[in-house]
Amino acid sequence: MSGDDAPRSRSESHRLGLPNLGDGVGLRARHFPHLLSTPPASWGVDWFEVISENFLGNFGYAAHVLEHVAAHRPIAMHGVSLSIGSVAPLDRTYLRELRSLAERVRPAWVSDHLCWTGVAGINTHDLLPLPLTEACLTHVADRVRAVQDCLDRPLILENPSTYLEFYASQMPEWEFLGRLTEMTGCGLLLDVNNVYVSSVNHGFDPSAYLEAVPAERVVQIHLAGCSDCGAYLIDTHDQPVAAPVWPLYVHAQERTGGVATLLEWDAAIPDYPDLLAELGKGKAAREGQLPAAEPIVGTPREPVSTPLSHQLGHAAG
Amino acid sequence: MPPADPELARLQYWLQQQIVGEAAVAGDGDDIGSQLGPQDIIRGSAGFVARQRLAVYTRGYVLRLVDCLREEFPMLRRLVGDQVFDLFASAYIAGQPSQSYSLYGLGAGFADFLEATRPDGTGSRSVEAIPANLARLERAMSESQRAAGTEARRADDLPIDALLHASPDLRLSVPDTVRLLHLEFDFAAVLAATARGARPEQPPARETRVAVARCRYRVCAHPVTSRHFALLQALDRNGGLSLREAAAAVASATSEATGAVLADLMVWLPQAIAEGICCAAI
Repeated sequence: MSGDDAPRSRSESHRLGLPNLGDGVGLRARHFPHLLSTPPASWGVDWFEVISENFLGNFGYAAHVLEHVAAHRPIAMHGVSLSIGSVAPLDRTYLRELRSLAERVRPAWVSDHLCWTGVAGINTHDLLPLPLTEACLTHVADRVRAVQDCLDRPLILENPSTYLEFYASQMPEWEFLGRLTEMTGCGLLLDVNNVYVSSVNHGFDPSAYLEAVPAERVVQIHLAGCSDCGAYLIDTHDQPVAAPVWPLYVHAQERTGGVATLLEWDAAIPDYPDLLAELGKGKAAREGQLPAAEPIVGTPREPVSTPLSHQLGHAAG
Repeated sequence: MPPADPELARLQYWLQQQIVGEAAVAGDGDDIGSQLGPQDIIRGSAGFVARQRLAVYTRGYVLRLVDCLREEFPMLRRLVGDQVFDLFASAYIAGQPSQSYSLYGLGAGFADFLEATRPDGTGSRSVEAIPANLARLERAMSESQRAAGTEARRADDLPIDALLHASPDLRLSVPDTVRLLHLEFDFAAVLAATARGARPEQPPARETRVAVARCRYRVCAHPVTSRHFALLQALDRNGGLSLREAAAAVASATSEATGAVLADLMVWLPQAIAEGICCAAI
């Protein structure tokens, strides 16, 4: 049997051959002073995820912190402006800068979202839903291939929280993502909080979603908190992980055989020790100790999905 | 890459128009938007109908970007209060949707927008002119924070010895982290109050020249004299000058004797270099 014909071993096909980085958190400006003043051995995490756009064209304090952190921990780059589903042409300037940043940071992988952010030159800075049609799948697959060619690495795509579905859609999101991975070889960033939020908003079974996604293609899992708005949930990243998400997380870890976990917290960001405490619940859950049920609460002001203002935080040097 | 599916394009133009409003570039979405409502395009449910679902995106769009402007312009927000700031920010977002992949690009035109919308008949030093001036200062500080700085340089790159000997070969330049501003108000007290976490008082109307600079990743706004401002402008304009050329340029601009200017610069430059306002040209 030739090399090309030989079945790939589990270690090669599992997670696209990418490593299980362990438990990580998002690198946020609020925690820069703590990370610079604390020995890396005391950081309490295995890896960090950065918002790619924060570091494009940024040569200041944030870049200095990233350089320091990347010297001691693996980094993954997570983007919010790729707009992989837009009908607008791919932004080649953005892609060049993204590639340049990847060459500098040497991330374990580069991810973004299954969404679009704007057309006609406008960026709404939101992760907007796609009509899940055959034509859209072909369109997104073409663009994923183009991005992968440009970045010279597989793209990892995250399932977003969504608040609307189009009548035009012809398939569920899990089918769309599964077929996309087959067509392009891309990986998945499975956000179990987003699965839960969307399941409440659209009335599907979140466990069925997890059963349907191709587990061997999942490279990373996201955890985050959401807000209860009565008839629906919003992905606000401003509070602890909701209790119903933890069993889904354990389910996802069991199905995938273990992949990197990343806790996102982007508004009302807690002190670093509190962030670690929340991350620690993930490890406990994997070991069979599900966290005590805490109610999902509302937010003091009108809830905002995908909070971004932390990206402009000016943590002093 | 083949052209995008027309139906996908129509839905995206339609949704963007719903979210961004009139400022969105009209596209094929107009076609379906004029014929169909959200309930015809979005699958709703009894407790969460199509219009509510759309509203999560339309409300979130403005709130999210207002939050970002609040983050980038904290002094202006404190000075005018949340209500007025959010009014400014919402109007700006409605009129000039972001065209940048980076949120950092969002605030680039905010000061110009505030200046352009200053009420007719108000002067450049009227109270109505304060927001644009302060936004200009805060934007300059944001730009300085992100620019390529001189932090990686070694301490012995500082040309103190050369300054002491007034070396004519010493070349000076302005780091990329410096922004030179000519403002109509003195914001020193506003900066100090913000640093204390206090609400600032209205700044006095006073012609002020400021060099925003970064040193060890800390950004500061330094008031500078007209002579030093002229020096920094000359350095910036020419991409660096020798000490003698710089003195001559300032003397020409201020109608002073070159020797007097040179003496003043020799006294001021060590401090300016230490604060990251200028540096030895490499």
